[in-house]
Amino acid sequence: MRVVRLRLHAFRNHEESVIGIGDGPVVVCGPNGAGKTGVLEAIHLLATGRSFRTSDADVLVSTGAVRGVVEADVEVAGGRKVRVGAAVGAADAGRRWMLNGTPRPRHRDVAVLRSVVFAPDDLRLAKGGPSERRDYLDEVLVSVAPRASAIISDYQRVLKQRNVLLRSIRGARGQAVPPALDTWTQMVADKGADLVVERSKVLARLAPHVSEAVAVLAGEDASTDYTPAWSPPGDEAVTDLSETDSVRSALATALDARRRDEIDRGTTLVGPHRDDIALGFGGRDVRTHASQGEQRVVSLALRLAHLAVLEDTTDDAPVLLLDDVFSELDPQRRGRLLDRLPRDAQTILTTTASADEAGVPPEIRAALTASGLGGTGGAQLVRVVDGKVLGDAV
Amino acid sequence: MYEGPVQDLIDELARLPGIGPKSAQRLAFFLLSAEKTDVLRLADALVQVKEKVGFCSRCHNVAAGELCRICQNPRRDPKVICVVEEPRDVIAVERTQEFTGLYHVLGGALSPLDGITPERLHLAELLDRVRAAAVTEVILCVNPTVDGEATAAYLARELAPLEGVSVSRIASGLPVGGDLEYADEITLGRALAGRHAV
Ligand SMILES: [Zn+2]
Repeated sequence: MRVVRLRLHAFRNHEESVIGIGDGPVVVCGPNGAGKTGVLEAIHLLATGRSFRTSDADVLVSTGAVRGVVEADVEVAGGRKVRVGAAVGAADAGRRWMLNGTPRPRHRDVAVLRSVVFAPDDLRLAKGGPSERRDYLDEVLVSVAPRASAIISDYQRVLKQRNVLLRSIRGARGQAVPPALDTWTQMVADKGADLVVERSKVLARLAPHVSEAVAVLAGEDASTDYTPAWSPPGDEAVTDLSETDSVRSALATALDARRRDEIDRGTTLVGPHRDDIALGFGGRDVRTHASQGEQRVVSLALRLAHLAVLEDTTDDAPVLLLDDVFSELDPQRRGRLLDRLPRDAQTILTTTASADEAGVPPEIRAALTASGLGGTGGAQLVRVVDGKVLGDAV
Repeated sequence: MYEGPVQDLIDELARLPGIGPKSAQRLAFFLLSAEKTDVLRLADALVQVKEKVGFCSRCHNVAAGELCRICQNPRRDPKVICVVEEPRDVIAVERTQEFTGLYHVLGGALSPLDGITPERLHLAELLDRVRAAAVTEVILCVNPTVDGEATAAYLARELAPLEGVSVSRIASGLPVGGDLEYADEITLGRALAGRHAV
């Protein structure tokens, strides 16, 4: 699939930017803070329903504006053209979606675009807390199976409901625990089991690709294991996470054992909202026992694995968004990364490297030429200065 | 802000579900410019609905008298009860023409976030009905949302100890996260036919 036209209105520092996109790779170039990443962020927001930079809808809207709008014309397999749009900001209670000009209630109703973004901040996948890895896994899950977004939102709803109930029970200390708690506990086990199973299945698909990418980029072994933060008391840890019934009963037992604690603390302590992926590099724990360089390799490998799983799922290659990744890598790894990227995917990259006479920064041009990346046409340079797009093809 | 009565009308209209301040303003000015007889007819309909229509004392569906039309119908099978969240869901199930039993309207679904505890719903009344009458089957026809599912799970637990009563839930096939109100008759009819025990 390809984005052939992109419009940003009152989005980040773009007052009104329209970019027509040709067949080749797109190099978005400009100084720091010019609004380059906003271009990638807009595409990724339309693809995934959320920004890869913030969870706060307000910061997406230009200062002084009430509502930001992003809109992409997407050409999907078979040549069909679809227009997807999003309005963000307080006026729209977060965000609102459009498909071919018709408002739709949920992102999954407009989930036409697929994209994978590589960003300097990806380091947090290896270095950050468990929530970074859960979010990564959920993003992969939804991109390969849009229906899974219902599983995720159902679980979040159940969790919220049960936590409100637990807080009210804590507030009414001494009174009998209402029977509705058992129901909401059962719901956490039900919906939680669905989520654990989907996550562990998608992780099993990612794992071989992560290992392969780490082997190519750094010549090391890698491991990825779904790690529940809960376990039934006394029992061994749950081993088969792909079997809904056994996960559900394990969750139910674990919830039962922590019930008293949960009431005392007024919150749900057991469930997939606390799970993690254990990442290994050369037999060491990536988060605690790997260098920053090794962590960067693993983060890249996670993104490459997402790409591989997406390619495995659909014939319509996702849009590749490379946010200033070249500056973080030495030339050798840069070359290996470019080698791993699919040739048929539309590629949009940002760089702060200064452009030469012909427009495209020389090192990027050399890399693009060597890799044959991002389609058939020549590279297109899009210069961004102060939230304004000055574009021309090269 | 407008003149007293106009602003009052806008404020009242804006309290209706799905009506924002802008729509309320538009409706208010429509009413202001409409024929007096049309507006009085609307006002009369509002008064009538509150004075003449209440809720069925047996199933909590809307009713013009003590009992709703369905509860009054002798041809309906009193041994089968279909449990729904709202009166509008009764209409949705009736449209399928697949169901010949009676209803029980809960008046919502469990939701701690909205302060909806079991006591706030007509759950105890349902248990009384099932115990008192010779009910053999209870069909839980709640919305396929998290809150609806929790309500069904809660009810299934409460109904389990009662002897001789089979409890089932309508089969999925309904859009996930959807509302019964918006399901088409065929989908809902099939879901009803394919219900399973819980
Ligand atoms: Zn009735």
